[in-house]
Amino acid sequence: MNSTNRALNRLVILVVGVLLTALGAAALLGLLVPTVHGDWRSITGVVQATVSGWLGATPIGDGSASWLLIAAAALLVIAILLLVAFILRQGRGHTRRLLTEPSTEHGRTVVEAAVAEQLLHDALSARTEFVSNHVSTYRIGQASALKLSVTCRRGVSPRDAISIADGAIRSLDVLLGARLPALIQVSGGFRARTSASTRLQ
Amino acid sequence: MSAISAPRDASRTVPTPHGVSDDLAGIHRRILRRETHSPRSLLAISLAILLMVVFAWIAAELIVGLLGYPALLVAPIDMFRSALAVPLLEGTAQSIAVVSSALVLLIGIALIVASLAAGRRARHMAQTDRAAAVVDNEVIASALARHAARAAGISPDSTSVSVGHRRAVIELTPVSGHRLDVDEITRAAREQLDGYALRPRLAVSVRVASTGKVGS
Repeated sequence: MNSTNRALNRLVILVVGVLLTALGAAALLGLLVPTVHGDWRSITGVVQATVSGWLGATPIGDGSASWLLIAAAALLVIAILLLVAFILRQGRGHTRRLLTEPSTEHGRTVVEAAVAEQLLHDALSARTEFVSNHVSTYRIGQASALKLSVTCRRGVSPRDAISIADGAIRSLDVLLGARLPALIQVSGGFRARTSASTRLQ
Repeated sequence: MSAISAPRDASRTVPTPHGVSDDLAGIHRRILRRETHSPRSLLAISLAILLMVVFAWIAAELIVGLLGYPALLVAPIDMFRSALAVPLLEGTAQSIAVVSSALVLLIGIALIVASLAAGRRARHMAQTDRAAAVVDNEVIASALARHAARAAGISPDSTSVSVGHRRAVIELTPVSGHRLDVDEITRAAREQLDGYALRPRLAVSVRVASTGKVGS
């Protein structure tokens, strides 16, 4: 439910994949096909001369170093900063604000996400079907959405787990006077496997 | 439900607060699609870190070269020259080069596949008219195991259930000397699954081990 840009994730993977595929294929062709190898060798001289020409034509002051190399280093640093931003953007989207009533002449009412989170957590903690539960709030577009993650004990029917969580959400609806989008995530996991199964029904 | 005891006057008309959407179904659809598919974050972050390391190294080599110090590992000029002037390799050097190029090619293809594949998570969607719900396959398997074991009259520890995207397979080890009623067990499991209202629907098949176990 976070705001991770999944299309961008896939784009990054795709671009790296295409580059590696091209590199691997070119290297294999050059190594295994003699004519490709020959062609490659015949253009190396030209490429080398061209690049040397560029480096020679762009000196810093009257030294021998080229500013093209400094520009390349700067571009690499910019690319690194973009990648850092890309990594930091993953998994965000939590919010602490549940809802804001429109202003009236008496003021404005703001409901913090912690209200819903603690109410739901308390309601679900009382149930023996769950080993644990965790409630968090995300912002999706303009709306706040609740996520109820519950970890079931062994053998608990998903239907029961969902209807218990569903009931808690409905009670919250009545309390808030508003229906927020909600996700119920029913999982098992390590704690469910190691904890004792309870007597059910 | 002690903490949430609801007041009865929820039907009063209040202006819609900010932060409340009137398109619950639309948001729930979007949430369900995202929760049943992998975001590919782990792979993307790993690649980004590798790229950062490579970029940082090349940038460092460029700057070290410009300042006139000896290269850290390989000078940029030498990198460029050796990439261009591929010598004709022989024997072991040739095989190493071929194998590593093939490896790079395979990794590239695997990444392209990973970027385009759906990346389904081991989860099913379930229906309620108020909230979106996802259930881990593990939970479905555990519940099916309990009900199948009860229908078969054996211990849950003698049942093993695996749940895939479209089918659930229940494997039972009967008590030695007893015959299990497969149809009855299949019917019980089918009934349970219908009650869960999962999307996509699961087909169920029951297999009984040919050798029983004493006291199972």
